[in-house]
Amino acid sequence: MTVTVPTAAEQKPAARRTRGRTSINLVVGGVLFGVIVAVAVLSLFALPYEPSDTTGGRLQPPSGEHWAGTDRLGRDLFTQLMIGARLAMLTGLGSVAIAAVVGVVVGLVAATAGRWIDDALSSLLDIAIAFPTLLLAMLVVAWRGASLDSAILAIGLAGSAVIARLTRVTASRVLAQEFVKASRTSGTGTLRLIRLHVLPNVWPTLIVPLALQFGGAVVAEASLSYVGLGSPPPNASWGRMLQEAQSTVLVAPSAAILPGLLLVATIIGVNLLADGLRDVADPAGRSIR
Amino acid sequence: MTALLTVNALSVHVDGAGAPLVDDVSFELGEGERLGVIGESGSGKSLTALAVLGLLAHPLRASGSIRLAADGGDVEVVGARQRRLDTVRGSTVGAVFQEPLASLDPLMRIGAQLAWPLRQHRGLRGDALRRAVLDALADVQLAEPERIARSFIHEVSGGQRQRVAIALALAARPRLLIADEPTTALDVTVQAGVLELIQSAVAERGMSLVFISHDLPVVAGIADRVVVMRAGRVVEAGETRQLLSAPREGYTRTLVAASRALDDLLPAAPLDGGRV
Repeated sequence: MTVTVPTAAEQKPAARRTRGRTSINLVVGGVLFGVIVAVAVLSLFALPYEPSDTTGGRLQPPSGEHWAGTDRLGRDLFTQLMIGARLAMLTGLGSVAIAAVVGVVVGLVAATAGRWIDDALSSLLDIAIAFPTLLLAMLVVAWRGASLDSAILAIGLAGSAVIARLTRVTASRVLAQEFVKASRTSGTGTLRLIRLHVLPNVWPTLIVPLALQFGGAVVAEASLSYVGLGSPPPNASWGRMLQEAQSTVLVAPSAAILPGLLLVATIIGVNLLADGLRDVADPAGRSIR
Repeated sequence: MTALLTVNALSVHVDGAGAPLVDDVSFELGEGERLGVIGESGSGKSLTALAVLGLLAHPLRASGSIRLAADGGDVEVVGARQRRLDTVRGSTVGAVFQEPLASLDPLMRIGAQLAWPLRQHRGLRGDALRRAVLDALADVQLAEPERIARSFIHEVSGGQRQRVAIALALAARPRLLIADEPTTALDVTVQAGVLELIQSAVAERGMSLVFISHDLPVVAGIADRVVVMRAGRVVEAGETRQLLSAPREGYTRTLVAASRALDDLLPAAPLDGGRV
């Protein structure tokens, strides 16, 4: 008793501060990100114009008919922005999923397997982390052709190296803990040990980097599209829209500004969400409920 | 008396380095017997316990022999495969460690943590499992087992934590309990209660006990036989009473004399209950 009482008293004010900040981050991040997600989902069911509809006149400024104006082929920019949101979400989700699955599996193998495998994997990870994403993407494109899938695969694989290393370090630290030893003494096998103790204790460390990678993946896809390694036309991603608008930026600035703004909004939204999620996943915050 | 645990010429080395950390340790433990292992910090007592549990991690390496009499025949712990060890741990041997806060998962509710060995070793599910969890908590004399089961480990007190850790070690009904300094991290008032709990749990279940401590009076109160370790070696072993009344080794004599001297200073302190 004498031990917990002061501890609990110390925790309370700190936790309250944490929760106050959490809600702001979560709300702002959630609204920004939620709007993008909503637009992306909406684009599956309803678009103002067909993506290939070129009847709108070329390089029109925003108007009641074309909310974001038109591009140099006369296509509706708002339609393209909506599709771009969907592609951005797909890219983020897909590459984060690949990074998480590959990264966590490799990291756990490295942390639990013997020394040789660990050393080999860790050296490979060092190389993979030093490998530029763009170069990896070019390799994947050379192998599979330029498509959104290739971009997602490349970005996901590039991100998985960081996640793998983080998982390995965190898992090793968890595995060295006394409670793992105690759990082992009651006969817990390695796989169950990972599921019961290692994953739940590693997960909070991974949430933030994974969420950050979501934002990073959206930017990376935009860069890949910008250099022509991303999704092919007519499904323009924000990056391709930026690239196409580049030559006409002085005539029709909205075509360049709007995708850029959406990119920024997505990334800020995701990063704020990541901060909020970290506070929720933090075990110290959970104790007060 | 049949031997439940036979340790023969056990040595623990650091891989590739010279001097052994545990050197040629041998002892035997019968069914229902209580063995105290005594020694200063670094004497190798905890390493011996870890070796018996098969928990030595790289770069530590055990040699010699550790045989556990499990239900399906003897198991040689030294060099055993992980999978084989998983069948012995929990059901044949359980362990309580020094620091209860560290030996329980901070992110798992106490009830869930306690449920796993019950599921695995006793095949309990659903309501029976829930009841068994509460029973296990009540068995270690925790009031309000429902509340404790719902709590996270940082939400209960130090003494309660150690009781939870003991419940966890006892959950799969092992025949041997290894207690590695289970009272060292607790404050004096809580120690006596935890000691009493270990003593009564072991007696009620007819379990064997290996009780590791650097605390002579505590060990004297709980063990039938004592092994004294120093610098990785067993320097003396024998019946508790005999060993304490007539220590032969210089080191044991120093230990006993130190305890006596302290005892003389504090005439009211009991030799077997609380710690002086």
